[in-house]
Amino acid sequence: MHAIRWIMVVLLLAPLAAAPARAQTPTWYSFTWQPGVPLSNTKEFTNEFAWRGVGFDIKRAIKPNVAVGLSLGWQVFTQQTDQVVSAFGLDISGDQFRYINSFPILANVSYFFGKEGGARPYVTANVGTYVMEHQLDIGLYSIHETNWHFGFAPEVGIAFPLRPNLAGVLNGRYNYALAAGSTNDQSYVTFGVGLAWTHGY
Amino acid sequence: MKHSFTLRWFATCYGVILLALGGGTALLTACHPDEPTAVSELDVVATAHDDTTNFAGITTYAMPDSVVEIVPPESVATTPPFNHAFDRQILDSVASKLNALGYTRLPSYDAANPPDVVVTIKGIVVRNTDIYVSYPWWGYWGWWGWPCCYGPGWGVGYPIVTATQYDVGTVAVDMWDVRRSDPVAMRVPAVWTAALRGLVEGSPLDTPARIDQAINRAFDQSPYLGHP
Repeated sequence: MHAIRWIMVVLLLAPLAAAPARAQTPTWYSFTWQPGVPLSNTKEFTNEFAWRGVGFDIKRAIKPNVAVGLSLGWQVFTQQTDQVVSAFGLDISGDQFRYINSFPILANVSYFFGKEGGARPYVTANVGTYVMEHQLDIGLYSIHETNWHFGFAPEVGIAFPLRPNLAGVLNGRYNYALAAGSTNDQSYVTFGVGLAWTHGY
Repeated sequence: MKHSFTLRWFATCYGVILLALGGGTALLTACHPDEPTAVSELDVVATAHDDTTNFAGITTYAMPDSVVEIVPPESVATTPPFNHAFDRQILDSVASKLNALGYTRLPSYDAANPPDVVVTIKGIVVRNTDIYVSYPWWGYWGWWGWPCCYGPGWGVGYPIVTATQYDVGTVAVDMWDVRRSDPVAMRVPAVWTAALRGLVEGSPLDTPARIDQAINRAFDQSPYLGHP
């Protein structure tokens, strides 16, 4: 519970860093398509490559080459299987439709390499919460559980200028969410490709 | 600022369009894509067995040559009739599976020379009715009149009542261990049971395949029934 409170404080304060306090402060808004690869426990539940995924990032410089920001995302992992499930002394089979909807809400710190106007490789440390819904549909039954997981996500990426104040973005992020409720720890990797509206980067 | 048409500009526009299409697709398919599209995908088979039973020690069985229809006493008036058109297929398929596993079917139940187990097959159909009430929001245009006016906005609309009705059929296959029957308590322990459950919907032409698939699943997920 302490961790969740701490996250909420960070999340509430993070947008302030992106507020337009000064026009000269470098600011970054990016939107990326983020397909994902499930790992470990996430892969056990849904082992298919996730084509559905999007991410939105806001960053604001606090020092030369250093920015803080907020990252929001949505990944949808799915799998259809007919494998047998054992529970409550029963063995149950049928077409199962499994889903994981993951909504990362992360505060972050980024360090940018390179110079303004050029290609900008960067590394980012994300920390925050993952709202994850696990759902299993079988027959006319549906079992689902939603938990708020504490998690973190190291990220590397590069922004390359396309036009003034517009850059293409490529990034890779390892997402790790600690266990919450009756759900084990979850992990997956996303690969982002998109555009960033950059002012001063 | 003047922009000339360059490859970079074209790539930018193309990227924006791709992102919009990708994002739109993700949103349209929502949180739970790839949901069931056929009635057969809603069929479920559940099995349970008695862990203390040594199925290898069971060699003979008897099975009534009919599927018995069960009607819950509390819903005699509303329970739809069980369709017996597929009884023969169900009975033959179950017997075929048991015979393939090494069990020998006796032609009838003989109290003087009883089988090890009796296998019974029951059918039941239950009608389910779900009623939903929703209060959609509706928009309205502004109105000008005495004493004044109000602008456009949103309000709660009339409730919409939605009712859905569907029938669910279950075929239950039970194996009773008559060797351990208790004549005083009039009890016979069930050592294996399989419930084949599905919607009583869809084309009748698909029903035989659905029955075969369900019976196959019941035996496939019960490997302990096999004789070494």
